[in-house]
Amino acid sequence: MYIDPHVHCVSRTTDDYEAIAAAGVVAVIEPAFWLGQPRTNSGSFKDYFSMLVGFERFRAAQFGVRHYCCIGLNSKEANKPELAEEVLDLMPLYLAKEGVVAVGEIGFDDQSAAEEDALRKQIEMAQEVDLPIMIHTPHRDKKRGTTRTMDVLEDHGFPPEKVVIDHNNEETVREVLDRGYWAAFTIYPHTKMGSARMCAVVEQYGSERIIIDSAADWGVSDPLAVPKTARLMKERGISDAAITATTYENALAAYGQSGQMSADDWLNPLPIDQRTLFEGNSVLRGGQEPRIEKITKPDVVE
Amino acid sequence: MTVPDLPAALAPHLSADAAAWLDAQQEKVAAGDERALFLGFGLAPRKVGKAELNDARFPGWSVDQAARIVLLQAFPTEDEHRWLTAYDKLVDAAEVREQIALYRALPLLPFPHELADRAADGLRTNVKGVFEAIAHDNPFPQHHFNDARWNQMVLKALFIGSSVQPIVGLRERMNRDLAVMLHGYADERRAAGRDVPADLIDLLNG
Repeated sequence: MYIDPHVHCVSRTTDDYEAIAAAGVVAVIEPAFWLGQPRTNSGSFKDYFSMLVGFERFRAAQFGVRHYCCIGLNSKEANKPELAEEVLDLMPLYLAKEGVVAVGEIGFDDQSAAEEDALRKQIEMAQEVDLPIMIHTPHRDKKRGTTRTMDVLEDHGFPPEKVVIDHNNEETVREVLDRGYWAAFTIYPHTKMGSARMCAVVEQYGSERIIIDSAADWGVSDPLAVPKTARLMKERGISDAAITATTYENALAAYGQSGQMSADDWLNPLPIDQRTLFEGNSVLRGGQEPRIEKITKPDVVE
Repeated sequence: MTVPDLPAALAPHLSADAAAWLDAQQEKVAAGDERALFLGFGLAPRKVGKAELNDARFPGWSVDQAARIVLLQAFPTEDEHRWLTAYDKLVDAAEVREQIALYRALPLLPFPHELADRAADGLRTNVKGVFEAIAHDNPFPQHHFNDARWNQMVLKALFIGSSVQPIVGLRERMNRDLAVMLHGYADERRAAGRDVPADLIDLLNG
């Protein structure tokens, strides 16, 4: 069983859902993010948040995948102050909802003053509703941006054990772990981590507080990144315990602090949830091997 | 239509803590506090749990869904526009299970004439559970839908692979136009080499 604790499902197809379910992914977490082009009004955000807690949750359930989300104003779009203000005003409407496991993904992009302002306001919201935080670290000037993000969190007295710092690399991981945070790694072609480099990180740092995700989105990315990296770790002789920790248990422990996510949700779903949020059961039975090759569609459409 | 007593059906399922929370929240909502309604609506599952209600008068309901609707029933109805605005805000921002609660509760809510439009909106969903909250075991459509709306609901149930048997008033509301549509649908399925749902055949045979 795997959890992909960072994947942008609204940008993915039903083929992807079929593939991840067949590969043993039982739960996904979808953080709110930038859509590839800027939104021009807050109404677009409202409908996007509604989609995360509404239709996308249902769409995942049809494939036996349990879907959770994070609500937040991403750093790129925090740079339009008027829009940012309106989106921040919307957030309380969504943060207390079932299945919202964190405030996120929030943090820095350009590391501007406006981004810092939105980050601080959202840290306060997370404190108010007692939710974990998912941090997006900047792709440019990452090392300094990561340090600065942790400084801001500590400025608010936010406990590091309730924060997942995402998109780490070899340059940032040590400080993130040393300061007591969860360190997530995104396996994403060309720009973030590769599977082989990920294995090396686990070999060097162990599996404690390390989380692996795909961040698959509208770009060239791989929704099977988590199971594929697990397979590579196995081939390289990394222990089963370390593989389970980094691809399932740690994500559950970190985001389970929300009180909105537990293994029972997919192992023993309540009748009320089975009627609406969990069709079928993707948990692999009887030692069935997870499949991570592409599912081939029949040539004929019935 | 007599409205069954939801608070009474819910009471035996509540722990002392849950009952205290619901009472306090209800009091705020009854004073017209919209924010308390919205927050209580979202927080209900973590405050009262999600056990089955197991009550024949409320088929398929769970404890948290009942608590949500008890809060909605507490919101003052003197100002119709204000009440409907609050209902709309809840629907607009609702997650899947919240949508189901808001539509299941239609027969228990005020201003049914106004809510009929909203129910028709709800039926445009692609989420089966939300559709069935309106269409199944729910007397609201039978009493408040005109034929055009009723007919679309029955046809859509078949179209999305939902059973028509649990539709309340299915045989009483049969009309010529619906019969034509149902026969047309069955013909279309046969022409495509697809099976015709058993409960459609039952319905066509009277």
